[in-house]
Amino acid sequence: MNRVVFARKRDYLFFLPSLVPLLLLFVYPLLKGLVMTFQETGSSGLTLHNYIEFFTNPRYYDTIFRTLYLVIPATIIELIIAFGITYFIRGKMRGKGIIAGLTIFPLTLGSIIIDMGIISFFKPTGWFNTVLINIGLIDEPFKLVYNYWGTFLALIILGVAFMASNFVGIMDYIDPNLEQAARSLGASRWITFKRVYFPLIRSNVLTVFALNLIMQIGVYSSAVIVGNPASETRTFVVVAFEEAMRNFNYNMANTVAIVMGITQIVILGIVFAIRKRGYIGSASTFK
Amino acid sequence: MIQVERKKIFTGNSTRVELKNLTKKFGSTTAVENASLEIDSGEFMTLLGPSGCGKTTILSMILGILEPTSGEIAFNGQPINHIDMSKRDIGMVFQNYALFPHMTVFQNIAFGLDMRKVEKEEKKKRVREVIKMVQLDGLEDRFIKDLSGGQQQRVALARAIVIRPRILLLDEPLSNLDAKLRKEMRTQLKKLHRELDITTIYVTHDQEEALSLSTKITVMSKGVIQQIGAPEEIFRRPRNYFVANFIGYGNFLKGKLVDEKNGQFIFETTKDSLRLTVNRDNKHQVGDQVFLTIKPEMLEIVTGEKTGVNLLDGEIVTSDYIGSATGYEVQMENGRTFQVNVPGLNPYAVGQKVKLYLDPAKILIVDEE
Repeated sequence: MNRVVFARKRDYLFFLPSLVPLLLLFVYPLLKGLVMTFQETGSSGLTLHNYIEFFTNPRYYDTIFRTLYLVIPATIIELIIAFGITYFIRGKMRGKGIIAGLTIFPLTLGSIIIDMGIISFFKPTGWFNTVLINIGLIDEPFKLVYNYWGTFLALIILGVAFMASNFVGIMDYIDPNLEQAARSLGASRWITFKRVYFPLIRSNVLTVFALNLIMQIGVYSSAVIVGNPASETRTFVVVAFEEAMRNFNYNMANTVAIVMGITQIVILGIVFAIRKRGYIGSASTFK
Repeated sequence: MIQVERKKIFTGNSTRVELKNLTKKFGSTTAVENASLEIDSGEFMTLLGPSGCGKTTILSMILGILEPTSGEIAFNGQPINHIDMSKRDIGMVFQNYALFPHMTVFQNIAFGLDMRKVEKEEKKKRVREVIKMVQLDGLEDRFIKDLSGGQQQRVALARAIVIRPRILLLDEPLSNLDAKLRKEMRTQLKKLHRELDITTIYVTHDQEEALSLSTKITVMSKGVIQQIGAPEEIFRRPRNYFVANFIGYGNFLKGKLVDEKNGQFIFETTKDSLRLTVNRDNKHQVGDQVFLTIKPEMLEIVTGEKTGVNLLDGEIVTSDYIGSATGYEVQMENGRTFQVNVPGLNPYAVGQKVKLYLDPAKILIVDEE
C-alpha cells in the first residue's frame, strides 16, 4: 500500500518538467487573455464592454454563425467520407496501404500548400473547370475559390485526412470474428454493421469527430487564402487576428478568442452527450 | 425427465454433412487439397492436426467465411456452397469466443433468436433453457467483460446452440482455458453433445481432446486428410508415419519388408541394415517401404540372459523420471537410440549395459505417406 503511494509521488516528479511549459505557455496566457477581455484598451478597470460590443455588433457576433455554417457541414461530410474509406479498407486488404496513405497524405502538407493546390486546381481556368467545360458538362466555370467553397474544400481535404488517420486504427481494433459471429447467427451485412460493428466503434468515432470539429472551428489560413475573409469565411480567428494586428485592440481579440473557446466547449459537450448515450466500453473482452 | 424434453426439442434438426473433393487455394499455396469427408447425423467429428494443416480452413468453408476453390459442401445431400453464411443455420464457437462486448449475456445469447424474429416470450424461454444447460444461471445481466474465461466460453456455446443449428462448429474452444477447466469443459461438452444429439465438427491440435470427445477423428497434415476413423482405430492402427507420430508413437525405424517367415515379416532398416522380426499384418507385403514404430512403454529392457530375435545391445545414456514411470534413452553401438519407458522409479543407472527386446507383436507397421 505504502509503496503504491510512494510510486505515485515519484510520478509527479516526472510530470514536473512538462508542467512548467504547460503553465508558462498555455495557462498563464489563457488567464492573462481572460482578464484582458474584461478590460478596455489602455485602462485597467474591469468592464463587460467587450462582451457587450461582441454580442450587439453584427460585425462580431456574425462570426459565430459564419464559422459554424462553414465548419459543421464540412465536418459532417468529412466524417462520412473518412468513415466510408476506412470502413472499406478495414482488416486485411490488398492496396490498403496505398489508399490509406493517399487519404492521410495531406496531413504532411499543411494547410497553406493545400490552399495553393486548391487555387491552381479549382480556379476558373484550372484543370477542374477546364475539363468540365471541355467535355461539355458546363458552360461557365464553377466559382470554387476565394469564396465559401474554397475554404470548404480545404477543410474537407485536411479533415478527411485527420479523421481517416484515426479511423484506420479504430476500425482495425475490431475483431473480424465479431462480424462473422453475427453473420453466422443469421444477421445480414447491414444488421451486422448496425448492431455489432457500429456500436463498438461509435464512441471512438465520435471522439475523433469532436476533436476534428473543434480544430476546424479555429480555421484561419484557408479562410484567408482560398476563402473570402471579408464576408463568407469571416471566421473567429480571422476577426481575432484583424483586431490584434490591424486595430491593435488586443482586448477585443481576446474576447473573440474566448467566445470561440466557449463555442468549442459547448459543441464538445453536445457531441459527448450524444456519445454517452451509446456503448463506450472496450471493444474487446477476450481473456 | 427434463433431459428427455430437451432432447426432443433438438432432434430432427440434425444434419448429415458431406465434403466432396474440397480444395482451397490461397494464391499458389494450397491450404486444403481434395478433402472428402462424410459426417453422419449426430456424429462428433474432430479435425485433428498441427497448426497450418488446413483444419480451420475447412471449418471456415463450412461456415461460409471462405469460398472453396473447388469441390462441394452438402447438408443432407443439398449443396450449400452458394448459400449465404447468414442462412446456413450453423452454430459456431470461435477460438476467442467472439462475444459481443456491448451486450449482456442474455443479449448475446438472444442475438441469433432476434435475427430469426422469435417472439418475445418464446425467446426468453429458450434463452433461459440454454442458460440452465450451460450453467450460467444468475449471470444473464452481466456484461461479457465481467465474466471469467470459462464463463465466456459457455456463453459462446449457449449462443451457438440456442438457435438450434443444423450443425455445431467448434474451433479449438478449450485452447484458452487452464488445464483443470479444460478437463471440466470437456466433460460438459461430451454431456451436451449426448443431450442435443447434434452433428458437431470440432477442430483441435490436442490429440487427447480428440480421443476423449470424438466419435470419429479426421487427422490432417499439410492440407491433406491422412486418416479418418474412430478414436480407437486412430490410436491403435495409425495408417502412416505422420498419424502415428502425431498421436504419440515413438521409436520410428525407416526401412523395407525384405522377407516373410512363419507368418512374420523380416524388416531391414535403410540406414544401418538392422534386421527385425514383426508380426504380419494384412495391409503390407514383402517389398514395401515402411516405418516400424513401437511405443516407449512397449519396449522391454532385459538385463539377464535371453536369446532369440529382436534383441539389441545398448547402453543407457539418459534417464528422466516422469512420475509414474522413468524414461530412458538407450543407445546402440552405431549411435541409433531408442526411447524406453519403464514403470517405477529409476530401476537402471546411466551407463549400464542393457539388452532391448522389441516384441514382434507390439511393433506396428505404418506407411511412409
